[in-house]
Amino acid sequence: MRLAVVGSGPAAFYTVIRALQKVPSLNVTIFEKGFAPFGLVRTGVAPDHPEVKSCQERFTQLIDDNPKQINYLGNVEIGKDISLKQLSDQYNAVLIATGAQGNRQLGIENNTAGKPLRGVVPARNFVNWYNGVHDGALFDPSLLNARKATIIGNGNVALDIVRVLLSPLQRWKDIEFCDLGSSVYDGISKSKIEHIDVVGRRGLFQSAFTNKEFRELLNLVPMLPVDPKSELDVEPITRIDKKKIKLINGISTGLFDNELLKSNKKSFQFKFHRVPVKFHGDERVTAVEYTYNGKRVVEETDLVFTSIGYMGTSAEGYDSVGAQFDVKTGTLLRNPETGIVEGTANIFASGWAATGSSGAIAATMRDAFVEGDLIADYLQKHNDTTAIEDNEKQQESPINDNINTQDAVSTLEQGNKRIITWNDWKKLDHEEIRRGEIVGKSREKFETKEQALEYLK
Amino acid sequence: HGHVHKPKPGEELTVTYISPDGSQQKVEAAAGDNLMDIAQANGVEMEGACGGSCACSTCHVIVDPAYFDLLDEPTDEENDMLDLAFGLTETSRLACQMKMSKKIDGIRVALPAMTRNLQARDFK
Ligand SMILES: Cc1cc2nc3c(=O)[nH]c(=O)nc-3n(C[C@H](O)[C@H](O)[C@H](O)COP(=O)(O)OP(=O)(O)OC[C@H]3O[C@@H](n4cnc5c(N)ncnc54)[C@H](O)[C@@H]3O)c2cc1C
Ligand code: FES
Repeated sequence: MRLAVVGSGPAAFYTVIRALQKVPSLNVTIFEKGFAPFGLVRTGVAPDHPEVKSCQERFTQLIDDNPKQINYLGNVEIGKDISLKQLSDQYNAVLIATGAQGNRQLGIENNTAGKPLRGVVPARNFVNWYNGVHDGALFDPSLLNARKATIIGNGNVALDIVRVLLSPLQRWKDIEFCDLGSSVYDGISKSKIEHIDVVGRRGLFQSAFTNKEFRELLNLVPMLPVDPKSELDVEPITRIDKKKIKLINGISTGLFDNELLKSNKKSFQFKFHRVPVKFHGDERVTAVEYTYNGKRVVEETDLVFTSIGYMGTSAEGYDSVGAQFDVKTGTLLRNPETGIVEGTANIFASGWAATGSSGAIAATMRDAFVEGDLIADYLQKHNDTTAIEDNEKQQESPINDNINTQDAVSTLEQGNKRIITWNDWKKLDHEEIRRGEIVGKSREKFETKEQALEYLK
Repeated sequence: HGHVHKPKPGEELTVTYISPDGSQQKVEAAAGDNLMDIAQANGVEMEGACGGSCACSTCHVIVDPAYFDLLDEPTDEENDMLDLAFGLTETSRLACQMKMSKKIDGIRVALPAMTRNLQARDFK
């Protein structure tokens, strides 16, 4: 039995972990379009959250421990290098675990002249930049040469951005196992940003950030009081909202009384109930216009991050296999009983590709475990009936480190695609760690695919 | 993973893990080790994605009410992580934040089921 997996983030790994438990003889091929595995664990989770990235060790161990059964092929994009149709035809089942590759659109005028304004940046671009993903010109750090920034959206990603930009610089040196890139540290240390407004369409209890991130931030960056204070006159009902209020009240009662915080002259402030309608500025953004309490208000700013969510995009090839994709939520639709993507015969999906772009790794894991069980059920049911004869098709393939590969992969060999195998990734990984050791960090990342490929030459 | 100590003879404590399917596993443990490490060292299916740093909530367990009050109070950080746990109950805790001790010898904890509509099932 063979399973093709598209993507190598937490959804991919946790689904495979579970499916392998149930079908121990399963052969798995993982395709990853990037030069490095692990999805948003590497490119989303903030550099000062090394604990969160510990799951990478588990993922690494899974492949290391099952070299005969799991084949990893990096730098291979499904829909471009190999079609989804081909995978669906040649494997017993396919798992789409591609996460959310686009951005939710704010849908407002960028400026009156219709030209995009400088200084309005999707959060994703900035997150990529501070995580050392420098493929393409994604974020220009010279934009940080500004006094005030505004983040539209108030989920955890917004709080990550505030923390990264406004934490005392010393902290980056103190954090053990931090993997903030040297060029990124350089950019952040030159930042002139003193204050960040974090703007939400609705009130405190509708905001999506968690108390964990909030508590952490309140210990690092001074928060200016919510203005007017009456906006907080809402009765908390859930345990989570009660804690949110308690944290906010804790500011005045000295709950966050530490030296680092006291030394920090920067600040952030929540702005609630503001619906952005327009950006002002000629060449570069100068202000955001909102509707607020039925009135129009214009608030000045030098830099805007739009942080209203990552969003799944309909990928190349969904049509060819009949996969039903909901454009509104940016997700693949699954049959709730079988886990199969609606409209397809043998395609499954897990993680953000199916659930949408919210939920921490724990939620992604839970979704993936359920999908892994359903894939196992499907494979066991179809074990006798499938036409694919595993043994015949498995022939030695020169590009493979460990196990035999499939036809889909031999298409790649015929082209001159440089596949980044698991052994290649191990080399890159060791080199990143070695470079990190020199500067006293967990790793110094390769920042572009070109750099990675150059090293592997 | 699973950095656990061997209990000294005569000082063995026990923990019982209850799987979603109802099966139980009683294991020996040494004082001072946490319930996540103990689970992993004994092949109990518990992820512990953050390695016990109170940063992921994948080690969420439901403690037998008979033992719950014997535990030390959870920290604010643990409570914050429990916000993200699925199927939170009155006696929910994070296994990695509970240290084994004589006081809680014999503790029983249940692993929550991995379902997509947990609520619906819970209230059946
Ligand atoms: C900025 C940010 C910070 C976060 N911080 C935390 C945190 O601190 N703690 C926490 O628990 N959770 C955090 N999360 C949430 C967590 O990252 C997600 O729950 C999880 O990564 C989703 O996993 P996934 O596998 O579905 O998607 P992803 O992690 O996005 O993985 C998808 C993978 O598929 C690959 N791919 C996509 N298309 C193709 C293709 N066509 N062919 C081949 N490969 C493809 C991608 O390159 C990627 O590697 C954060 C998320 C973001 C955005
Ligand atoms: S192992 Fe992550 S919170 Fe316990």
